[in-house]
Amino acid sequence: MKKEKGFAVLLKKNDNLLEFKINPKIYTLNAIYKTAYFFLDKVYIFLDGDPKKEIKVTMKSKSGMGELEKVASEFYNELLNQLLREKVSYTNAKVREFIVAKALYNAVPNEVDELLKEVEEEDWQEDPLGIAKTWEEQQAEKGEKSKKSKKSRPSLTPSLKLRSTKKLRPMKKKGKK
Amino acid sequence: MLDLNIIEKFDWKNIGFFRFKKFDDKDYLLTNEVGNYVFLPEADFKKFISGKLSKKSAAYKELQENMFFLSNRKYAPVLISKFSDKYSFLQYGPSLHIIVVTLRCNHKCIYCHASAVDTGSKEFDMDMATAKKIVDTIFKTTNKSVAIEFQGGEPLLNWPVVKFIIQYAKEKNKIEKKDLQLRLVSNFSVMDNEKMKFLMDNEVNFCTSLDGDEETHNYNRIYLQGNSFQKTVEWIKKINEAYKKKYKGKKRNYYRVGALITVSKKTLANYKKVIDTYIKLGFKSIYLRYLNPYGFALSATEKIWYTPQEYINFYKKSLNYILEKNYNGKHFYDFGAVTYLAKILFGHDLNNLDMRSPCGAVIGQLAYNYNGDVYTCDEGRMLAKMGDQMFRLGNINENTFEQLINNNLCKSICLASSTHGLPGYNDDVYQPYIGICPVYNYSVYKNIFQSSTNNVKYQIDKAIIEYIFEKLKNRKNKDIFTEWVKKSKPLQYLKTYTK
Amino acid sequence: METIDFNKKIYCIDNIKKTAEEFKNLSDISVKEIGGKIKVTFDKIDPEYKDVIKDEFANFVLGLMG
Repeated sequence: MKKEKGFAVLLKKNDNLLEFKINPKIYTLNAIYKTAYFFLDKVYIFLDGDPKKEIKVTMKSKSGMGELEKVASEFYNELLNQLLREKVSYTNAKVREFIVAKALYNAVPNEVDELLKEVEEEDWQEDPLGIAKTWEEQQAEKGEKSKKSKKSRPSLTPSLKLRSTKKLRPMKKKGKK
Repeated sequence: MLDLNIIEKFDWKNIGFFRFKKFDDKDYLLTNEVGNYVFLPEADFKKFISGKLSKKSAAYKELQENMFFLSNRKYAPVLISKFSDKYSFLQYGPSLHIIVVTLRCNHKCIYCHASAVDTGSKEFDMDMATAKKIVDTIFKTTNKSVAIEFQGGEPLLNWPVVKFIIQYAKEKNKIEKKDLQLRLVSNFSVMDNEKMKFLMDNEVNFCTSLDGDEETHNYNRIYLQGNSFQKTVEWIKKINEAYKKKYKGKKRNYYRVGALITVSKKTLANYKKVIDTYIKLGFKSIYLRYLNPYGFALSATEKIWYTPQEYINFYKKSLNYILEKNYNGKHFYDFGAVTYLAKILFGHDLNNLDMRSPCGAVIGQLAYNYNGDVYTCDEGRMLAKMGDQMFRLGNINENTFEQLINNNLCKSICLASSTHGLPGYNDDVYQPYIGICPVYNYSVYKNIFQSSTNNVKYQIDKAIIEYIFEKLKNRKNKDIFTEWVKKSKPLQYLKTYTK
Repeated sequence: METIDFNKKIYCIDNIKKTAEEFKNLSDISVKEIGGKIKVTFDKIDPEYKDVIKDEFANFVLGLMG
């Protein structure tokens, strides 16, 4: 496979063993775990390295039939899918929490009241982990301690605002504050 | 395939939550939290995620209508409403109550002869005291709808208890005022006019086991005292005639005998004859579900079993055959397909309890054995017949309703069968439609939290849903599928499960 | 005797212990934290699984991480 940004085949030891490295600043460790999960029935996978600098993936054929380069290419495609899924999930987490809470409101009013009270205490429009930013933006910010204004979600619909809140955050379990 | 540059430009300000997969050479399939779906050509998908899709394009409009844009003013209100409808069953208690009034059976079906009990063994009959306690317990459910289903063995072999439960439940309901439904699942071999009249007078719905055409049915369902197929068909016709007479000129004339099929190896080869028989007998649907791997005799494995791929091929051929019938003007459907289609096309869960997330065990149904033992579901009870009591909640004589419902087993099952958050399931584009059966996971993998990797049931369910989506790409099929859901009897019947 | 060194920054010890529990019928397994590693030692391995136990074990742990 051709060299992709943040993903490179390091060494093909033999037909049954392949190593590649992944830049965890682009592809999160969580995305790597989830990607690996999809391939566990096809190949053996072992992870090593430093989650802040570089993840080394060792892939071993189960059948002894080789074709590991093809699997590595599929792994890369799935890694991209997982990266997108992660972005979609992360940027929508608070809105999803809100929708579920409102949808099931009648079932557990006390807990949802608590949740809605909690979410009002925190700014859900922030992006503290910078997951919505591109890799270049993150790198640029690191260098210049960005003066950029915060990116924010668009306003919620009027009906939504009336009902609740400007701010949402993931649900916390009781007693774990 | 995606590329990093596109992903890094993700239009997170406008795009709501969605799941996706590359569906075929041409399209991506996208689904959202409430089950709306859109097919997008790869180029449009890339434009969509990077915020470059023209607002005037057909793709944009389709995505907008199906609630994929957070910036849509209706986004939150519509999703809240649809999510609330889709998961409304969470607000109610168990509605389906399966009562096994006897383990005795006069059939020696190849798939369950090891667990069937001889007709003379009356010690396996439920007694009146246990029956009364069960009915009392059933009426403690918080659900306004109560469906009592008689199963066995052959329930009619313990007719006095069936009769008692019907009378007592109806009497009790004069005070409780639930929406009470009564159902009998019987092979009809000991049905007679008197019983039929009593059951019809008390508005008991009939359901029978019909494995298809005479050859297939009698191969599977061995009846030493006669021809099982002929006996069953005789009573299907007789009862349907009686329904016609009873409801002539009235609005409630949709009643007819229902039927359940057990798909065995024999069915696979005879699928056309099986479907034709159902149509000929006036059934509007068939339920071609995969055989559960419990409650069966190991010695019968070779006669009944098939590989997952053989089943998937059978299902695809059967669905095509059924569609052909519809192309020729015959309204007939597969209930499993309709269950998925109701979620896909209408965001509506028919409450087919083993195709639901979380599944119906305990929170949707309870199964009561002849001796008062209570199980999470009928599948749990069947597993117990093989000697594993993992899904036994307690006994009617020892436990209160609250103890039977509010316990760690119930909570574990809800967690294990909720596709939200489970690895593999959570990210699956088919997550809004798929269900998990913890009893299946436990019986096959010894773990109710079995991962999706290498999970046969998951692979089968996915293959079927995928095939339905493939068919949905054709407008003609989509129109037929829409009609199936709209006209489906289950929609009228099972609606009550959610209330 | 066979060993695997799991990187503590990547693998979670609870998942390794859970896996060890699942695999206990195939081998005597010990789990020890040594520096930045979690060392898993397999002894008395069922001969039928001798060639694959390390790889299967590592895959199982990874399955729990996903």
